[in-house]
Amino acid sequence: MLTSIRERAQGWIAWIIIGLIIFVFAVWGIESFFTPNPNVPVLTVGDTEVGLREFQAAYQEQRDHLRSVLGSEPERVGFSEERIKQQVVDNLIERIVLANTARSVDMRIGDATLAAQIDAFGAFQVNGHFSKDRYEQVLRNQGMTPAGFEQKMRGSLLLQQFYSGVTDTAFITPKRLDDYLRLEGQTRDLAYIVLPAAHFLEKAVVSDEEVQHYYGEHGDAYQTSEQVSIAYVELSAAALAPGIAVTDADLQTYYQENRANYRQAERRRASHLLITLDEKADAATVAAAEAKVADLRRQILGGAPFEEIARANSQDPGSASQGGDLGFFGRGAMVKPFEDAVFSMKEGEISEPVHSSFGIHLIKLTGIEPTHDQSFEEARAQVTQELRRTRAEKLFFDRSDPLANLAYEHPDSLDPTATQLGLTIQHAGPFARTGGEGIAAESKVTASAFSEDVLARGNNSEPIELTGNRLVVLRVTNHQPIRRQSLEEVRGTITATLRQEKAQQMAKAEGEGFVKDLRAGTDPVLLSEKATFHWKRVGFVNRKASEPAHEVLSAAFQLSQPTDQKPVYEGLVLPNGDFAIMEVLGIKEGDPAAASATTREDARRQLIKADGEQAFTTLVKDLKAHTNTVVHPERF
Amino acid sequence: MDPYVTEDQQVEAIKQWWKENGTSIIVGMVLGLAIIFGMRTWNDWRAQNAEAASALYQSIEAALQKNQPLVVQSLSTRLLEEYPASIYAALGALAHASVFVTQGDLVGARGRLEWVIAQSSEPHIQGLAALRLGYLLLEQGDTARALTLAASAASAGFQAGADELRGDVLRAQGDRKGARTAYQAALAGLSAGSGVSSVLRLKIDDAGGEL
Repeated sequence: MLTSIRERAQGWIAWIIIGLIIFVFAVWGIESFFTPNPNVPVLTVGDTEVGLREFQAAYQEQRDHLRSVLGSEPERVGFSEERIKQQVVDNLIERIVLANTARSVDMRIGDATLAAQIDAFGAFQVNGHFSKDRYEQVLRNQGMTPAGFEQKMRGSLLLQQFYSGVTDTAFITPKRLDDYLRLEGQTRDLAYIVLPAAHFLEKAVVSDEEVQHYYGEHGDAYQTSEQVSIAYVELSAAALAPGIAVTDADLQTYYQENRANYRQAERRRASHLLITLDEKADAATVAAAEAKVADLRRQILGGAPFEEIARANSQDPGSASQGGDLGFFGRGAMVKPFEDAVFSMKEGEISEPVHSSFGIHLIKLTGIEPTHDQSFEEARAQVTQELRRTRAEKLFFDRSDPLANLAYEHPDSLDPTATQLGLTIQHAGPFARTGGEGIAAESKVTASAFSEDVLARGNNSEPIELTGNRLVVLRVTNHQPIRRQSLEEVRGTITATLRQEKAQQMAKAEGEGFVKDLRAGTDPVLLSEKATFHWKRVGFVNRKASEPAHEVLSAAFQLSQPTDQKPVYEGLVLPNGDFAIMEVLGIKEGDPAAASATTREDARRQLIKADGEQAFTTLVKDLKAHTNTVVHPERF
Repeated sequence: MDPYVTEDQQVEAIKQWWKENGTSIIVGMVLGLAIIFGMRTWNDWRAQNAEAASALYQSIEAALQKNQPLVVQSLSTRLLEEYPASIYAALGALAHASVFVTQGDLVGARGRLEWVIAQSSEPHIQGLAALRLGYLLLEQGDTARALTLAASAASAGFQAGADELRGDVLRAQGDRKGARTAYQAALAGLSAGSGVSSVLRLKIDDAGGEL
C-alpha cells in the first residue's frame, strides 16, 4: 500500500494539489487563516456593505473637513464624536443609496468622460496642460493610487449627474413666477392702534387676598440662592515685598552677583530724511521719488548740511523740524531695513537710499553708545526692586508651610494663623456658588467655601493657591441656605406682577371689545376719541416695512381681503403685553409687469433653485425609505 | 470489482456511450459557449450605449449651466433618437423641457414631459415629470388633469411638491380654503430650512384665514 501511495505522489495529481496550496498561500497569505477579518461590516445599505476601514476613512475625512471649516477641533465647538459619526453614517447611507440607484437604472461614466474631467483639474496641470507625472505625484502625496482615485471620481461624477438631472432641469412657469411676484410684492393699506398695558395700571387694583393667594400658588418661585460670607487670610509675595529691609551692602552684593542683568545694549543715534512712498505706488511715482532722493544725496555729499536738507525736504513730520534727528535708540525700535542700515554704518556716514514700508530714507549716523555695564548707581532702583522680590518670594515659600500647619492645627479660627504670620483677617461676601466680587471671583475660592469640609463642618479651608504666588486660607462666617422668601419680603414684587397682569388683561379685554365694535360698524374715529388712543395710519406698506412693528405687520399680512369696501380688523397681544388693533383698508397685489428685469430674473432663479433642491431632497428621502439599512454602532 | 473484463470491452463501452450521448454533449457545449459569449457581448454593448448616452448628457448638463439652450436642444434630441431606452434620454428630455419653458414654448415643454411619462421605466423620473407637467397644464387651464398628475407625483414619492401643486390648482379654481389646507400639508412635509417653505408661507397667508 505504501508503495502505491509513493507512486501516485509522484504523479500529476500530486503536483496539482501542491500547486493549489501554493496558490492559496501566495494570494491570501498564511495570516488570513489565523486572524479575524479586521474589516467587519459596520453598515449595510441594500446589498452594499461598508467595512470598518472605509468607515474610519470617511470619519477621518469628515473630521478633517470640519476642522478646516470650524478652524478648531470639532469637539471644542460642541461637535461630539457621536454627532460626527452620525453625520458620517447619514452621508454614507445617502451616497450608497444614490450610487445603487444610479447603477440600477444603468447610469455610467465612460472612460472618455472621466478622462476629460481629470484633464480639466488644475492640480494635475503643468503649464495649462494635463501632466501624467504631475497626476501620479499629486495622488501619491494624497496616498491614493490612480485606479482608486478614478473609481472615486467616477462615483462622484455619477452623483453629480444624478443631482443635476433633478435640480438643473427644474423650471418655473411664467404664471407661477407672476403669482410669486404678486404675492411677494403685495402692499397693504394699514392703520393700527396700540393700547399700552401701562395705561391701565392705575385702574388695576390688587387686593391683599389676591397677593396671598398668588404667594400660596407660586411662592416656591421666590427663593433666595444659597450664600456664604467668608473671612480669609492671604499670604502673597507681592504684599510681603515692600516690607523687606535691604541694606546697601546687600544691594552691592546682589549687583555684583547679577552684573550680567544690568547691561545696556548698544544704542545708536541717527538723523534721517524721508520721502514717503505708498507701497502700491506705480513705477513712475517710484522712479520720481528715487530721483529726488538721489538728488538730495548728491547735495549732501557735495557739502550741504544734512540738517538743513532734512528740515526742508523730509516728509517725516516728527523729525523734520529737528533736522531729522531721531535721538538714541536700540535694536527693535525701528523698522527692519532702517535698523539694518543704521547698525551697519560708521559714525558720520550718509547712507545709500534705504527703502522701507514708509518710503525712501537717507540716514546720517550721528552717534554710537556701545554696549556697556550699568554702574551700581544707574542700576540701583532696579536692583532694589529685584532683590526685594527675590527675598519676598523666598519668604513666601518659607511661610507657606507654617500657614498650612497653623490653619490645620487651629481649624476653628483664623486668629492664631493671622497673628503668628502677621497677616490681617479680611472679609468677603455674601456670595453664591456662582461667585462674587474680589476674591470671590476666583472659582477655586467659591468651590472651597462651598465644600463639605468648610461649609458643613465649619473648618478652615486648606491653603488655596492662586496665580502670582498667592495663598488663601478661608473659613465661612455666615451661611444663608436656600430659603423661601416670606410673604412680606416679596409682597411688593408680587403686587407689581399682579398689577401688570391685570393691566394686560384689561388692555386685552378693552381691545377685543373695540375689535368687536369695529367689526360691527363703529366708526374708528369715534372709538379713537372715546379711548384716548390714536390710530396710526401707515398707508400702503410691503412685507419688509419697518413700521409697524414686525408682529403687527406679519399679522396684518395674514388677514383676509377686505370685501365691499369694509376694512378688516384684528387684535393682537404684543410680546410686551400691550394690545394692538390693526385695520386693513385695502390690498394691492404686486405688479409683475412693473418688476425690473433683474428682480424678475432673481426671483426666477431663486424659485427654480428652491424647487429643484426640494425635488432632490424628497427623492433622496423616498429612496432611503425604500432601502433596507442596518447600522452596527457597537462596531465603530 | 471491475465489471469489464478486458480493455477491448472497456473501449467498446466508451464508444457505445459516445454514440448515444456525443451529439447532445457537443450541442450543449456549443450552446453554453454561445450563451456566455452572447451575454458578454450584450453586456459590453449595453455598457457602451450607457456610456455614450452619459457622455451626451454630461454635455447637456454643462450647456444648462452655461445657459446654452440650443446645445441642450440638439443634444437632447440626439439622446432621444439614439438611446431612447436610456435613463439619460429621460434626463435629457427634462432638461429640454426646462429650456422650452424658459423660451416660452409651453407646448414643446409639454411634449418632452409627456414623452418621459410614457417612455421612462423609472417611476421617480416619471413622478418628477408628472409634477412638472402638472404646472404646465395648470398654466394652460387644464386644472382637472393637473390634479390627476399631482396625485401620480404624490404616489411616486413627491408628496410635498404634489401638495403645493394641488394648492395652486385649488386656488386657481377659487377654493381658497382647500388651497390653504393643501399648502399647510406641503409645509408640514418639508424639511426645515427648505427654500420652498418661505414661498409656501406667503401662499398660506394669501389664502387667508384667522390668526
